[in-house]
Amino acid sequence: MEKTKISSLQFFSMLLLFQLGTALVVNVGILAGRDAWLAILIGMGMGSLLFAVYAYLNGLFPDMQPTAYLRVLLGKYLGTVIGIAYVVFFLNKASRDLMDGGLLVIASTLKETPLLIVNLMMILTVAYVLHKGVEVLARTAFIFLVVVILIGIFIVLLVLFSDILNLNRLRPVLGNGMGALLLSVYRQNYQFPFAEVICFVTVMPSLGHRKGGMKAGHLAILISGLILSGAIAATISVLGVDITERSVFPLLTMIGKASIADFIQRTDILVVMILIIGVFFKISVFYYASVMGMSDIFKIPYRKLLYPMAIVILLLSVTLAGSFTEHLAKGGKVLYMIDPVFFVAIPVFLLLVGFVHSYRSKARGQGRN
Amino acid sequence: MGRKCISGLLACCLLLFTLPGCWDARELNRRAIVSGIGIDHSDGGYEVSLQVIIADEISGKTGRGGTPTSVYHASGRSVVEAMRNVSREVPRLISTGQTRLIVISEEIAREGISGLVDFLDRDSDLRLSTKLYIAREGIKASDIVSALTPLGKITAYALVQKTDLAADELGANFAVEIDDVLRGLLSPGGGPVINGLNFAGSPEKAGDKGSLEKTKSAGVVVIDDMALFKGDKLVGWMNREECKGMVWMLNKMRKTVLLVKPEGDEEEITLEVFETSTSTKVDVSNPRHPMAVIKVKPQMSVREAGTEIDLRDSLALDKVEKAANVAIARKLESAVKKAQQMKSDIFGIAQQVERTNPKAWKRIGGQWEEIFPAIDVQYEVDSIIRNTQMRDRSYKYHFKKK
Amino acid sequence: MIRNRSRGGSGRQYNKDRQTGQAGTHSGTPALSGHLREMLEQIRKESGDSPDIVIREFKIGEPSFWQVDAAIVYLNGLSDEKTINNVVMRSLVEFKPDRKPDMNPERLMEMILKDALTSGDSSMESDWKDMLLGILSGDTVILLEGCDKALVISTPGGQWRAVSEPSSQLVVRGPKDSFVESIGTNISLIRRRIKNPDLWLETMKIGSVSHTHVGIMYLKSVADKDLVEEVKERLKSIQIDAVLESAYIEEFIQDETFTPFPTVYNTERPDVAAGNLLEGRIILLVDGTPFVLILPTVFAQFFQSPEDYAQRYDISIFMRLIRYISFIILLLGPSVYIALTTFHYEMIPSLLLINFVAQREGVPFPAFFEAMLMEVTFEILREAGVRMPRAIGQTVSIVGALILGQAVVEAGIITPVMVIVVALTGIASFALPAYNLAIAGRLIRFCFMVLGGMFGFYGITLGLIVLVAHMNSLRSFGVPYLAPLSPFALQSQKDTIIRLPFWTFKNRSQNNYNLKHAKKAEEIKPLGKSGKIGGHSGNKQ
Repeated sequence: MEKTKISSLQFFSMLLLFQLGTALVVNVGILAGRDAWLAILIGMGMGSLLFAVYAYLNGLFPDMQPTAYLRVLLGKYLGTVIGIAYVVFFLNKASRDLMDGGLLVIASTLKETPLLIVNLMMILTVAYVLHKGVEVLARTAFIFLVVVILIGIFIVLLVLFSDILNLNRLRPVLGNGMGALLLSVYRQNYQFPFAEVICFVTVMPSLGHRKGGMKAGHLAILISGLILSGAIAATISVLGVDITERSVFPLLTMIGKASIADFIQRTDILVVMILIIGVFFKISVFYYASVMGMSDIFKIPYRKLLYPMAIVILLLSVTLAGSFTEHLAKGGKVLYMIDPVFFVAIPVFLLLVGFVHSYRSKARGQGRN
Repeated sequence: MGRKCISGLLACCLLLFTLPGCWDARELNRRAIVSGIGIDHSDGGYEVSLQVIIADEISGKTGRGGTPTSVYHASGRSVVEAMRNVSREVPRLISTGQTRLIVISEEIAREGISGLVDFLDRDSDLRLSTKLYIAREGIKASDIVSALTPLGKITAYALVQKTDLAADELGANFAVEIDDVLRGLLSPGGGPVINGLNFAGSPEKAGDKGSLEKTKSAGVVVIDDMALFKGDKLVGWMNREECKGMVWMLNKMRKTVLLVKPEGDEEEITLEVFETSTSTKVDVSNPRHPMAVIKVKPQMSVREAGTEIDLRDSLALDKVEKAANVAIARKLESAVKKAQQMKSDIFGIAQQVERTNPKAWKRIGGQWEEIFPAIDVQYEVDSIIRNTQMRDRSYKYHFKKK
Repeated sequence: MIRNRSRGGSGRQYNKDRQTGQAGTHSGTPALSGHLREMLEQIRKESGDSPDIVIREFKIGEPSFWQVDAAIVYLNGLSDEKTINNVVMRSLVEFKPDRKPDMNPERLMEMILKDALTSGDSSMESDWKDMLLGILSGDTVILLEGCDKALVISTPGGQWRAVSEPSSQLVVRGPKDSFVESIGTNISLIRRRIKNPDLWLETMKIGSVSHTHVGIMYLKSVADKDLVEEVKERLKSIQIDAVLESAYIEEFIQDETFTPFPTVYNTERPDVAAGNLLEGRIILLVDGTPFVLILPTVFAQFFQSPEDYAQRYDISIFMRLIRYISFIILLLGPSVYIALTTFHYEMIPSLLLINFVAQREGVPFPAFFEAMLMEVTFEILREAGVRMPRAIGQTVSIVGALILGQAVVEAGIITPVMVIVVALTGIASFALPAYNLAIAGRLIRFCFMVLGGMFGFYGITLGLIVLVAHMNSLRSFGVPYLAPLSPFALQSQKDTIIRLPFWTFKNRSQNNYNLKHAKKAEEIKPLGKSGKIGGHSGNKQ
């Protein structure tokens, strides 16, 4: 594969859409009750830190795939094992997001369409775009960011003009104390969606301008945090915390309330469109990450792996969980039991090894001089 | 390239193959579009009446001169079961995506609405912005959805418009939507308030097409006063004054009419409030006896003055304003009294307490039922008369001179 | 054939000659024998003694002094007979050298070329094939006895369509001339607009049978040097028997074949060509067609019209916006209607919905088939209208638009809304200035209709993602198709999607997404200072 170049702006759009993906629509941070928006902001801070860790690791080996520098840092065998673990992890994430998207589409519009068909359409789209390469994905992200921003502005205006906001519903702030807030952050918010950016380590080697890209990445996390926080705050202030808490897709319910003069009504399909776009990028990046990892470990060309992996993801997405409830429950558990290993433990460990490694290689370099 | 082409063709064929099975595609002429739902009590369950739009009669060329809406009934142990039972009568898929109105009979409301609210909340087709009503005692919800309306063609939509207009112009009602009811049900020690519906004329004739052929309609559905709930049960109806007071308390007042008699005057002056805001402050320094201060700042204009009063005189205006303050405070008080009497915190004072002092709320929240009726409420009304319309004195002023 | 047979005796020789001729072209060696009679015979035979080949034999020199046999050959109808008679023949007849050339015909030919001919473009040719090609392209050839070279004089003539108003790219205000089928005229139309020595032209012949002239034009200081090389490279690799339209070339040189989107822009307007030259693009002119190719092409170009530069900038921004909107309507109009009515009826405002339902009562087809039916009908009408002779075309449009449309609605087969939707998409497709993009849009529209009919907005959204990704993967001579939007380049935004006032862009080359060469444009020397035309400034001094 030829060397692809992704500009900072494209990296930014990809990351932003990735972050907003499913998080915008499902109930993020609602464990913290009406302080969900705060929980998201704190989660965003932690996510930003984690992103710095990932960026540092990429900085050590700017042109290498993570599975490759895993082998450098941890040795051939341990590195390969952890690399495979990551591949499986990303694969799992991709299929979970595929299921998220499929279930939302079914719940909101296509009630009788089989999940398999809905997911098939999505994975075909993803596979087609990834077949064109990650650069095309990144450039497509930029265009859809513009589209999403336009729809977003429309929705914001709609909500403002339909006079349904009641900010009083957000009070009292921190009514349950910091404890509940931090628990929510610990269980959910820093990982979902912020720490999930770990899969972008496979995209980072394609960056044209690394430093600018990293800045764009931090900015994207910041902005996505603000948007998510604003969205959940708006939802709670429209619906009240009780309805929000029970909603499977609160933003959808909230937009359903908004209407202007009976003419513009039920625009929730626009939210579904934003979600489809977001989910698309989320699946794409996870999928890309796992395919890149696999192609690096097993030395199989990227394009040959693409379609077989699509089938694997599709089948996983249909069989992983029987129902949406089971899906969410598994997701919730995985989120604070297994994920931290991949999101935090291994990267931080790698960071330490990386410090030693770079110190040693520097020392060696000086020794030679 | 060739292989790519073939696989592309195959994919296209596959897509076309699945086309006839479009799982969710429903042509518009295979849908029965429901504009309003009436829910009555029936033996051991609910009787659902669906007002279905007969589009042909409204704008089609093939109309047979029938009524613009048609009503289908069925019973079932739950609302959903009843709705599905309707399909024995209706040849098309019942679609509630455009439903704007749901009427519940008072009978059900007195027994408790929690059973059916979950359906309204959960259903993904129904919107949360659908408006809820209670049919007053003696009237069946099915009568209301069966009624015809002279202005506009679909009763349900006309009623929704009536509600909005009444809320805007009179201020004794406000639109109550599903999520408002849900929040009311969930507010501690409180309950929702829901608009009532009544008939002017005879319920039977309102559904008769012949009634539309007279200038004086034999039966029209009108918006009535609001029903007060305690939890999910209807406990009483408010009168006009109490309704206005409650709308004011909830800061939903947009416009209203106020009749006041200033000190020393014989005739009443009619004022129109065109802008007002209400703020509620709760003082929980003594958690056993919270105090609430209601501040109202209405702006009004003089619409009718049958007296010789000279509105150029600021002292005279002061008098009018003072009288208005008293009148408004009285309305507010009547509403609060009623709520306290029914022991239902419809104003969400509990939430105010929680917002201002979460710690205190944690202690007293459990006993809110007892605390609420004893709350001491103070009213601070500060009326301002902004203008006097086109004249500054009544024509009667000239009599005074002579 | 008959003629050949009647002269059976020479048949064998003809075949032999032909073989040598062919061998000659293959190996590239000259095959002019030097014997006048033989050469003339060969010309006659190779062209099947075509009656439109005129061969006139005469003698040069004074009969008393010295004389050489000579012949003049040209193609009747392609060469300008007036020039041949007035210029070529006269100069030959009046050619009276004061001394006898030392009987070396080659020297004589040089003398004729240098001293006698008053005609402009002429050269000596020693290759048989090239000479023959010259005759076939309208040149006049002079052959001398004993000389193995031919004098080829350019005498272009014959009938061409005159420069007239463009037929496919019209403007209200702006230049009204258009390219014609003659490459020479076309080049002159461009040269007239850009008087600068920097405007370079290179030509080559493409087509193993047709030998069509293809011209490559570019502004040397602005155009990307590598790009010019790349274009030439791609042109050279074309292997085809004939080039009858620039579209042949377009298909050979485009980057991606499997796409409905045109990746090479074509125009019949000299002002558009000139404008694109100034932006650093390359222009390909093909003899025999009024459509010249412009490359590299980006998507935004298809939304630009020469009208944009003739109107105020705010108005042209608005007009461009309208074109983008029309493209979106063209792509998504019917599919969104299908998706709305069959999947998302709750989104339609209630009163409008009642209207829709009332119309649908009694209509037998599902919305999807209804839309397909009408769209296909529309396409048939459009196709018929284009191909029909102009006089009948009117009838077709009346029958199609008025009678068919109304009857179909009155018969209750199609809903009136669908007719409105289809008519709207049809008109939207005509609002696009580029015909080939409109066709692409119409084709893709059907895909969206299938997606919208199957999955509602879900399908449409996925379709849009695929569409955008596909467009992102396209390149036109290495330039991303969606540039300068994606990848985003701020400095190229002044005249791509919007058009700012002229004073905002110092030079047009910025509009071309070719960053590294955008700066170079400032180096174009204004002619006034360098001398030739602006010489008056020197005269004053």
